[in-house]
Amino acid sequence: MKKGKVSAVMATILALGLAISGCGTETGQQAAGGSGASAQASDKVMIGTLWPLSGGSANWGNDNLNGAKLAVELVNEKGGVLGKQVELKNADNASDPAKAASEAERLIQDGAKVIVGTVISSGALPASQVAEKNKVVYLEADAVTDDMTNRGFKYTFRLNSTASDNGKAAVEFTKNVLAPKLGIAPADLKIVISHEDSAYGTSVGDAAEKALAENGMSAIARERYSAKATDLSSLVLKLKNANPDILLNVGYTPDQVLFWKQAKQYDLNLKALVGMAGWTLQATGDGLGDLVNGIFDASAPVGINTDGLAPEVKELHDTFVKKYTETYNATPSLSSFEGFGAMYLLLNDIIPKAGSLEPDKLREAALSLDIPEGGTVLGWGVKFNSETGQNDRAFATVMQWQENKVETVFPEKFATKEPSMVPLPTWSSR
Amino acid sequence: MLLQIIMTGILLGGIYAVISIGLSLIFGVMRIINFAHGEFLMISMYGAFWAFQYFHLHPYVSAVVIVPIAFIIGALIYKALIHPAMKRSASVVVLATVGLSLVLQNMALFLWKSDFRTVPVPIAGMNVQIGSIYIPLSSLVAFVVASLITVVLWMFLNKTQIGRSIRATTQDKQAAQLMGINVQKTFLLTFGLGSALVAVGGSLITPIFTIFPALGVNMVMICFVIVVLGGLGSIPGAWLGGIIIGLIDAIAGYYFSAEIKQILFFVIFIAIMIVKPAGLLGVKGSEEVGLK
Repeated sequence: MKKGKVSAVMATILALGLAISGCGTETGQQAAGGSGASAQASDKVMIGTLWPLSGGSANWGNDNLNGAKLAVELVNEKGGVLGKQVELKNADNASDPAKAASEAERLIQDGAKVIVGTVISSGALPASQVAEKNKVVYLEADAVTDDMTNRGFKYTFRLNSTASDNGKAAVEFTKNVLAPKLGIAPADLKIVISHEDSAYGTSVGDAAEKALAENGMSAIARERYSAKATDLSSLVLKLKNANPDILLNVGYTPDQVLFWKQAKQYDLNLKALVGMAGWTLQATGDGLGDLVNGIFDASAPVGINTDGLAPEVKELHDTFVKKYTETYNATPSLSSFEGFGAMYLLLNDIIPKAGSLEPDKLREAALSLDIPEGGTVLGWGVKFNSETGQNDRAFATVMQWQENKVETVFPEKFATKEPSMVPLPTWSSR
Repeated sequence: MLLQIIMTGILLGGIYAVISIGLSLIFGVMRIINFAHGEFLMISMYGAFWAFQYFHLHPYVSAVVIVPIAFIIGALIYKALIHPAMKRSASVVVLATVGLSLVLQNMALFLWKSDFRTVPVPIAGMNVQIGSIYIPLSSLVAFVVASLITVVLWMFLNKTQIGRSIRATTQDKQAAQLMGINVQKTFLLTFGLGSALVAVGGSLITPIFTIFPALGVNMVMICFVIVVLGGLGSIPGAWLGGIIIGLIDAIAGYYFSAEIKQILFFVIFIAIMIVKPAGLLGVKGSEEVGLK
């Protein structure tokens, strides 16, 4: 039975080999710009990326990376930066905080002077800490936890809006738009906050609670659940018993889709569901079909009125959308825009302004940026706070699913449609 | 409300049972902890998704095709990977299934991308109402099928010749071989059957769950708890374990918080390991992996 033994050995090697490679980085394989040759530090500008390319958040990670690759392509077509072509070195944080830290370490050992990431808040915290310790600039494109820019780090910058921005927009919208429409005084609204219980959901939940208090409102309950939960019917039943007018929720597509399907199964009727990130994803829309209509979501702007953008930014926006659709045969998601926006800002504004990859020069260049609202593809301006590194000109907007499309409804200046379906019709009448 | 919660828990138990029975069967007969169980579930759900996407088949209908395919794939995996690994040692088998789990997850990521997929069929939102109690139709179907499988599988194992040979192999591999039972064939059949049962579970939960490559990781933990609780290798045990965990899930989720459920599951898991390692309906000694 020699053959049997050989295949047993093969099986073991295969198992072990893939166990290791399955967790490894994708360095090189996904190098942007089509160049397969290994880059020398001298003839290319290397930028590290640290998105979740596998695991539960892989969807957002890959969208970010796909967006970022196109930014590199655009910049390389124009001759690159500092007179050199740009090459990405892509690490996979595997949707895991520990992995995010160790991969950040690895990127730095491989010579990365700038890292762009991270999507997952729980990974953004340790990864930026590693970067700070090594004096490497960390540019965040997608993670929302406030804590990331609350630590007084010198080399951590975040372009996107934060958990606080989401919570604030959701609460302001509830107070200024929903309450009058429902004919209930804001302070009398029965509001429940529910969120998945990682750093991401918790930070947004905290932000919502704080924003409610600042507006003289309060939540009757706050429910936490694991995004990995295999069932949410007990949460649905609990809410049914509490009978709130409005639910403020933040989570991921699988738990949000499951929750809303089970809400229908158990006939949980809310007057409004106001998300605070996650709900506008196309996957959520596809997963819920017509059930998605009427749901609000406060998050980084997607699908704003592009007339609000500066003319050359609008052109960049359209070029990006066209290129993205051609390259990946898909429409860019919010994450695609965020990855593109951050990488483009880095390569087109920060690095040229710094004139080198020296960390203090990069920091100086980032802090000197003063781009007005409408100056980036998502509509944000850019002004990094010199104490926190947060982009103070990032903001959240409120969107709504109307006829299976995402429309911006709040604030008015970016709106594409009026809010509708307030209050939500009961399930039996839909 | 209490009645509603209990009903919800029992039906949820049906869903949990239907995705756990295959794991229990494979464990009981072959003494293999199949760490790739969650990925088998994930792949069968992708099967249901693509069948819907290309042929507009309802997941309940496409199961007729997907379940036999899962049987064949399971049998092939046994031939190519499990059988050779079993000749080595128990730890090689464990490593092989862990490896297989990673291979399948990364394969799904490569082939089908990390996008979230769903099969939007109306049954996801349908319910039956008895008085003030709501019964989700998709859960009811899963519960009924899980119960049917439990009965049929129990009869198969106890009343048929093949079933008896499977049980004989479970009890004593060497003696069964001496009695003229083809152990290899029995294992092949069991692994195929276990895989087919996972696919049944996959088809049944597809209407309400989102499909993505890492999905199996979330689902498989609960399967392990159920199989350990019910008794390793006991089919009625997996059913009972599913119901108990379903009830705990619903009651703890309602009266305490959804957050506490996960903790409770694993506290139970550990407690069972210490107090009654063979599980509620397991045969004493069945927890000894790889010794027989």
